[in-house]
Amino acid sequence: MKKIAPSLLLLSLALSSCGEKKDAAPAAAASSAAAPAAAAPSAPAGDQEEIKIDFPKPMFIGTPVPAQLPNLEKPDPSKIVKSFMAPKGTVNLAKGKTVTSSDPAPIIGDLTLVTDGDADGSDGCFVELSPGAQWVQIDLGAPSTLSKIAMWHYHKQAQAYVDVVVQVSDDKEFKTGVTTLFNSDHDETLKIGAGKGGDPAYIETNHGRVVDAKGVKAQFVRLYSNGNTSNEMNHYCEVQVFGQAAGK
Amino acid sequence: MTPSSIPQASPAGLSAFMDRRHFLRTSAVAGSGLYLATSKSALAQGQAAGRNVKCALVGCGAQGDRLRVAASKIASGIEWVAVCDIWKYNRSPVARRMAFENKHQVSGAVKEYETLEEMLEKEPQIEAVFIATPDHLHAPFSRLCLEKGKAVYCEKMMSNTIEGARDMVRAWKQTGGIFQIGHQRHSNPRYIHLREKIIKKGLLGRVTHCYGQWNRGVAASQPLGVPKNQEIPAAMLAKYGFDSMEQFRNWRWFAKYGGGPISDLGAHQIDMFNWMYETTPISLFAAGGVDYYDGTPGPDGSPKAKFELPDNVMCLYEYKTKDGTMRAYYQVLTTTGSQGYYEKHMGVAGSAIISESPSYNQVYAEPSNDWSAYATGDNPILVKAPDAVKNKFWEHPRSWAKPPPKSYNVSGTAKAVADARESKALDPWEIPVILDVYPHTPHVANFIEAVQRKSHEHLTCNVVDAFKSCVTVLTAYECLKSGQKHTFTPKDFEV
Repeated sequence: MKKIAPSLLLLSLALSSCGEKKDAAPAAAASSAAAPAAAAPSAPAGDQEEIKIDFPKPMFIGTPVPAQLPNLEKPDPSKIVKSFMAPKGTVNLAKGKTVTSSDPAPIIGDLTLVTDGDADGSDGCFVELSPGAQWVQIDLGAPSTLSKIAMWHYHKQAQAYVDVVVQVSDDKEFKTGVTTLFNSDHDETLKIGAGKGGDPAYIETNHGRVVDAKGVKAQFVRLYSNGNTSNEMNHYCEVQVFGQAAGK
Repeated sequence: MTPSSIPQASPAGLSAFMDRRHFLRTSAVAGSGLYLATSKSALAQGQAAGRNVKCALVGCGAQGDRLRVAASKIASGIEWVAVCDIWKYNRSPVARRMAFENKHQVSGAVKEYETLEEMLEKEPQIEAVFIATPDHLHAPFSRLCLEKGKAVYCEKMMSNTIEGARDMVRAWKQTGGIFQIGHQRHSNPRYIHLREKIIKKGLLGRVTHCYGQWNRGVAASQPLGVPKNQEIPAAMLAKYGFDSMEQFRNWRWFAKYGGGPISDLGAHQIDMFNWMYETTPISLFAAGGVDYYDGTPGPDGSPKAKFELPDNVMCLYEYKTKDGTMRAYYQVLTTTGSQGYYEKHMGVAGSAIISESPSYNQVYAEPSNDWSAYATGDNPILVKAPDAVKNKFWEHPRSWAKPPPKSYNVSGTAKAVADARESKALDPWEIPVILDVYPHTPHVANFIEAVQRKSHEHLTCNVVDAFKSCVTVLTAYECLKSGQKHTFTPKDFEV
């Protein structure tokens, strides 16, 4: 488990569903150590439509357990991304797509739960991977233009996941052409070439976290984590990759 | 946990707990938090000490996983070979966690089986089986294992029926072997200390009353749901007697499978009345019923859970000890968590409060009983309670540093009356034994020791003794049905 800050931050987490709509994800400051597979094109200016995130029901209420991480953000309901503008035809490309993992035999559940379109945090809806640094990878089937990536780790209890990194590439081995879209590995524990992350750790809720993909083109999406503030396990309820398939 | 953290020597079995100085810490193996099953005496006798026993677990629910976790703290003697459960949703996580958390007890992948029959057929090398299934399967499963020559550790309650439990004793008598029941307090060094060093030595004087309770609140007593897309096929459920997935998940509350809270929670503590005084009761009166979980609207207007077995039960046992009559009251309430769970032994010279929870660990001397001598020497029976815990329980009046509450600040006639009726404060002491491994760990270790030695006598809770506790507990249902006091006869406890 990662080093933790000596000071204890008792989080006061608000689960209010109200809040200002923001198009930009709160952690859009990508730290791309690896060279991108393709130059991230600008998002098309015209023919935009609003894509609404389908949030699952909240799974916990009340006072969350204290979480300690040096880069843990203070929860801010106003930063919750509830919807975003994207080119018409943008869909969840990940739904039903093949998922692979550094842990091919999960402890709880199976990898299909990552892309089954259901972000529910109930029992039976999440996959638990082995302790320590692990990744899941989604094959979108073809290089695609990506707008946003929404991810839900286990959100039934108030905990933050450690060293969360989201990368995309056209190389299924992630050796070349890797673009890092989100990186909370502030001290480069993972040593995957993503550099020191500037994105914050955050407490999981039913709102998950929406990462800006900036219109990058890629076929594979890989998400890392390195345990969480409750235990060393890694979990995913759902990952949704919003974009347009090749040719659109 | 890594293999490198496992100590290779420094044996310490149950017997080693009893003669340590000051507070005993039962793990205490080079600070690793691991526990050694093989005792010094076993090593001295050269009885296959340290030999790995090939083990399997059947029933991978909450209790089965608790056994796995408890076993993970045992440094040597266990090799997990296979797990078995009809529900993959529970089975696979246990098998996988063994690879991480029981790494030193696994060589290769732990195999998974859906049924016990298949597991026993395909894994003949299994030497010991831990049974943690719903209670109605304990009797047939333990018999099956015993008849295959396996040693058995079966979770309590032995069975949901007295006849089922009786058949377990018969199966053991017919087959021999090692058969431990999971009343883990029998191996808890703190409980052993209380029995051997305090009660048997007479520190409490004549014990006239015992009290025990397990109070669990509504929030912790809610029914378990069925995870999405995790239904067990109806044919498989039916094969093992389950009517539905909902009943499979909440079997503890239905007579067909379990014994309700008086069995799930009460069995451990009522068993302690028998075990501490090495006897069985002569009579029982019990009251209780489905007082709350009856499906009617709850405080928020939505229907409460609907359970079949009584949610609140109170039992009053009468014992004849060598010193005279002793009465023991026990209550299990699933509508309040007030004061948790503990047992209390009250004698004319002192009282003891004990629990698996380390919060309750006190002994109190009645006025004019000076226990100072028991706190001397290398192996003191008691230690003086530090100031910080003096007021842990209600036996000792609190010296309010802050302004006392109004109810405490009485004067005049009220104070005079209160003084006249109150006893002098009891003198608080502590039991100098701390268990800092899981409560089940010493009991599992004792079982493994017995298997290594091939000695049923080595068990701290063999099936014959546990049967008497099972009769003591489940007879409460006879009282609930009849509304009458039950007078035990020797035949009740015979097989």
